[in-house]
Amino acid sequence: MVSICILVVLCLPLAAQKGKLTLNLHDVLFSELVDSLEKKVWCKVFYADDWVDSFYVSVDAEYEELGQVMTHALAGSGFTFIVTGNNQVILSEGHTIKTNFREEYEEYLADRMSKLDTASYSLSGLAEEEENDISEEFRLYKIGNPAELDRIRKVTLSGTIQYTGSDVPIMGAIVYIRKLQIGASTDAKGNYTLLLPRGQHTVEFRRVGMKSTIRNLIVYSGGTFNMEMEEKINQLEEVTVSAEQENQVLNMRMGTEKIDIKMLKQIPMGLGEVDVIKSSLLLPGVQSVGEAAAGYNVRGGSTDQNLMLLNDAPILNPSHFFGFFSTFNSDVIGDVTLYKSGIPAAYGGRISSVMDVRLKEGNKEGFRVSGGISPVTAKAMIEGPVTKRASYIISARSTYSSWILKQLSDKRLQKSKAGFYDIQGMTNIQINQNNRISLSGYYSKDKFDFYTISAFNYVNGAATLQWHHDFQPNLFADFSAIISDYSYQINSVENPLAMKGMRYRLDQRLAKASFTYFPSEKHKINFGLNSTFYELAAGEQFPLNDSSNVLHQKLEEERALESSVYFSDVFSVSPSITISGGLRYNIYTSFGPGSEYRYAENAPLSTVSLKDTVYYAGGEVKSFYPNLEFRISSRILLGPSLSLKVSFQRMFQYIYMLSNTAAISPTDIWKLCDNYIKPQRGDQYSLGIYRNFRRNTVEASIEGYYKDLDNIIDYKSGAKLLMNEQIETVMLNGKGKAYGIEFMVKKNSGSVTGWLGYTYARILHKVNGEYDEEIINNGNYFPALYDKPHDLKLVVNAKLSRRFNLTSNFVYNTGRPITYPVGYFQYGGVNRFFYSDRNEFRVPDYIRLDLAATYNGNLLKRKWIHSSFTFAVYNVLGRRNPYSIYFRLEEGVVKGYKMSIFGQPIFTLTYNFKIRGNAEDDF
Amino acid sequence: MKQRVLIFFLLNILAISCIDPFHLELEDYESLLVVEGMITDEFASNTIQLSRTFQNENTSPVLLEHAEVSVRDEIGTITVFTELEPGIYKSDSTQFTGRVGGTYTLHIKTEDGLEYTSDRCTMTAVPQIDSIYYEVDSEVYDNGKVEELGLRIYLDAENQVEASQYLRWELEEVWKFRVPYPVFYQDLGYMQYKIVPGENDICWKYEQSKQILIHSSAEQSSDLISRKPIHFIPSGRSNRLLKQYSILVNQYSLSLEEFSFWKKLKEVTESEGDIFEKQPFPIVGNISCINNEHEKVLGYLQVSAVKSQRMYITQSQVNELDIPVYEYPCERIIYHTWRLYVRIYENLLSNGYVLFWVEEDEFGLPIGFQFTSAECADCSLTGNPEKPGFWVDMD
Repeated sequence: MVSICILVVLCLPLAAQKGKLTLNLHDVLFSELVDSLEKKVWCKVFYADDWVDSFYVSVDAEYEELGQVMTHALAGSGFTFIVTGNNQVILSEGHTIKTNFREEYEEYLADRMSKLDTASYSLSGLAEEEENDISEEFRLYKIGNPAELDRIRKVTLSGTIQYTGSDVPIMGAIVYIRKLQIGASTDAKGNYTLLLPRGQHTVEFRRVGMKSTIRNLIVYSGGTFNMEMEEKINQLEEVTVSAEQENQVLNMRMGTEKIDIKMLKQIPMGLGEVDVIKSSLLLPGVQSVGEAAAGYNVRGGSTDQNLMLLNDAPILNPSHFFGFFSTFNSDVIGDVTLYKSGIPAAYGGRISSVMDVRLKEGNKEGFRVSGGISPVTAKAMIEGPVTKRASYIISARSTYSSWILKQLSDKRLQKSKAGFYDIQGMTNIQINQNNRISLSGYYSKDKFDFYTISAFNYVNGAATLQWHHDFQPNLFADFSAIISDYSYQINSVENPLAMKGMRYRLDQRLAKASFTYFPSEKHKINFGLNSTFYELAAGEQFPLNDSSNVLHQKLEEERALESSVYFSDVFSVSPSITISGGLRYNIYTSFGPGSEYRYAENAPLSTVSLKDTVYYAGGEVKSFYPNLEFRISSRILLGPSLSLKVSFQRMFQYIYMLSNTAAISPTDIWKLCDNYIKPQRGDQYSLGIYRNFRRNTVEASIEGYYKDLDNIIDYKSGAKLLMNEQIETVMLNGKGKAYGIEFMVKKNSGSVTGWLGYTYARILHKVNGEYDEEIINNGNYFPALYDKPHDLKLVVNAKLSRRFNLTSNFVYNTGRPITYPVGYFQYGGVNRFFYSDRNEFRVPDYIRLDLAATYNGNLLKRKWIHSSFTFAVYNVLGRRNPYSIYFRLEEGVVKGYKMSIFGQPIFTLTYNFKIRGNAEDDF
Repeated sequence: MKQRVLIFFLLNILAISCIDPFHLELEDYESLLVVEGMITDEFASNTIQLSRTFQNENTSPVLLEHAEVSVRDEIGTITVFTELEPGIYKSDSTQFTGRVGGTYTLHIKTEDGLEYTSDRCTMTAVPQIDSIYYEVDSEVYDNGKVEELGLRIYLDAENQVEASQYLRWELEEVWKFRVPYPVFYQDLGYMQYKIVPGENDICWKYEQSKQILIHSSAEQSSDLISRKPIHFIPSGRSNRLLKQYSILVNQYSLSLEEFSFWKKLKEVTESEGDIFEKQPFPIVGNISCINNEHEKVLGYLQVSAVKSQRMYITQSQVNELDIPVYEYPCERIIYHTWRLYVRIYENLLSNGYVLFWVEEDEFGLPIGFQFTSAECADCSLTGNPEKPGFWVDMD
């Protein structure tokens, strides 16, 4: 009940000074207005501080009464007020406090009587609406059947929360019963489920950007209660507050970052492109491989140990221009969650992290268009309703960078072409109360023609069909069918007699069923089945024309099925202790048709020791790995705003990316496990302490972790990874360990928000095989390529006014390890250098500061087009952060080079627009 | 290769990447034995060079003297290599030449008693070089800023059964050139001079290819080698094509193991850096230490059959082509006698300029002195005035 929050302080016995006042204030905090009012007129204003945290008002009063002044100041704010007899102003949110019940009632009766007198038996529509508006919060709603009263004590209440007057669901809204301290938040489809005792409850509904409201319910038995919430359009200053207002101290999650899209959208990235994926690398424990490089490392994991899901479809290479941009257009992304530890049992298949990206649902109210133009790309998005029950959203982006090529001095580039595009979209259909269907798709393509030497393209495509069904209010399920394909082709056209192409393709077909069940108030059970079928065409090389004498070669296709069944339960042992346990059982099987090579014993695997070939018929099992994964975590409340969380997880991975480069390169190949390449195992133990300050607006946490990795892969010197039939002969097996401690302080509300994170982390690998060629660094632990011990990140977002926003981020980390020459030798009449131990040296530290300023056009609610300009500077300091240091022979002389990718400040100006929408969503 | 070029290209598109020189300083230096030896089927003495790795690029390697070096073939015949120069061990060509199909093992015993041996290496046959020819082509220089026309040299090799699929080429370039300002008036000091008959105006320059050039036919439908680009001469950037040019191509057969040694050596020491930079790695050769199996030894006992072919490119052939002509970056300083003082004259000479021509009036009195830098007047500073033994003037 809103009025609960009102500070009802007894009136001070003051002499009423009924004076008129003159006051001119512009864009001042509400509290300042109150100060001047209280000084000028002998009055007292009552309100709750957190309502007006960053509420700005303007007043132009010329000899006006206090009431008039307040009316002007609060116009359109959603607040109402009354002025009591002794000059006390009491603010309230949503509805006016009534002190004159008796008079009103009499008036009402008189009104009714008069209407009766005039023989009008119906109220005007308007009057009725007003009446409903007022009474909804006071009305008692009855849920369920009173007859079932005595059978069960706890019942399930569920429902959907939508925007007023539309079918658009509200995600992340909180449904809360203060007295019982129980609550739930709505999922992506606006659904909530709450287990509560029978009886009368006051239920609060709140969400950032929405008007909070309450409903009084009498719950007899389980049932449904749907809500509509109104947007709080005027309170723009609150948009930077995290969409996920869950309390980090109370929730079960550990090592999980719910990423606030609106905040990330403000962060400047290179080339003026908002990039949600890249911005999320500013979180502690996550490190980018390097500037403009695809892939990221989470807590000492390699880039292929991250599962990237777009609406449940795994995406293998979500990057354009080899990693300059991520392929997900941030305009259509609704929600990003990154799991670093405590990964729920519903996810599996990768041992480091899961990034779960969800597309936004299309607007069901009306047709909307938005877009943006940056120096390199242009993008557009449309969304709207199809029928009352269905909506769509589609976005597309393309580059027009080819014109830049023509301007360059490099002769090779003038004759080259580069381009990419991506399309993403989703449609949602609400069939009835209990059934919903969504279909989403994703397609991205990159294409390069370099001079007359080579041509290259790569394609990612995915589609997800999902059916949501509610069996009972406390049991619902999602069924999905997913396809995700990745392929690339390289053409080498330099020499007409050796013109060749190389193709690679990996297709994935997934089926998923996931169930959520609330058997009682103390349990939340998830269970389900996942199955992924992989079909891999690991390489095909072919001549491009008739005169080419390139041999047509095709590696055998590989097929495998990875199936999992999982079960997890979140169990409240006591009000202060909650335990979550999960089990996931995987069965990985690779099938024929296909052959397998056998090698001589007592010798390293090599083409020399190759002895025999075994052929498997179609459908015959080649390799079989059953594995059980554990997920355990617990939260112990140590105080009202202090908690301790412990977790352990074991995960397995059956697909590897073979790459001897640091960054994900588009020619990397993914390989399925077989009898030689065994599944990777990752165990993670973590412990964290969470503390909130200043009424949960400041969150602080410390998390430590230790990881034990088995069956990590490495490669023999100079391994050939592409088009290698006996790939197992160039691969090495090793172990890894990673540990670290992450500190984070985060401020979520107010005009200045942001976070500071510091991480100390190490990742060490050990490759100690039986034979000399299977040993790296004498079989000792050595730092992995992405071992960067110290890592500091600071992100600050300052809302300077309603229309002007300033963001900056600062990044520092230790330079990455590189292998350094240890001496010269003369060979072939030339001095050459040689390498010995791996990763013994480091490139200099990485330091970068970025700034971005966004200026919005005026924020009128009803406006045909909203625009904003973002001016961003990437790498303000202009520091030449070395990406790599390398040495090569040039004309017989050893030359050393230090390469930095963004070696100078990069200035960009981006224009974004939105037609027929509300500015609130974006700005 | 492709992706390297591609990323380089991308960074350039955006024109934002920077590549700065980085000085290599070695902190952990490892001293290792380096073996460079080759056994061929040519009727010539074979050479094995033993040296050690070194820490400073500007010093030359320490050669390993007084070792016992021998090669053993598959029937047990042992050939001893004698140290003719410090660290350089040679076989007697009348006693020993390699033969195709022969298997050889190197054995080294150093002064301090350490023994080294190589893997067994079998000589594979090498195909004939069919032809070497050139065509006008272009290549870019200076990070792609300049595109230069020139001659690209191609090689065709015969498709020969039994011959090795793996080949390596070494190129030896020799070209004749003439300095633009040969000396006809020699300085005698104090503005005195004498007339000389233009000596040291024509020389020959020798250069050996430094890049590793290898080829594998393993992924080809036939072993035929056709239009294999082996060299490029930017005609506007070098004086190679001004008079007469010659290139000798030595084609060596390689075993698969030796091919992968060269391939790795090329990958590690000649590759371009980029964001997909590969991990550098130690290169293992085919030599190991008998006394200590963990001791690393650099180098390779190369066993190759060899075929050679020479091609000449003459001035008249070049003149028929529409390609830029090299211009010597030579300065000519002319002083009229009345403006030239002894001090200026001496100053020019002490700054490396030489007198090469004196303009005289009808009475034989000097009216103008012409100077140029030494390398523009004396070809022996950049080449060898002696004609190589094989050289044939074609024009």
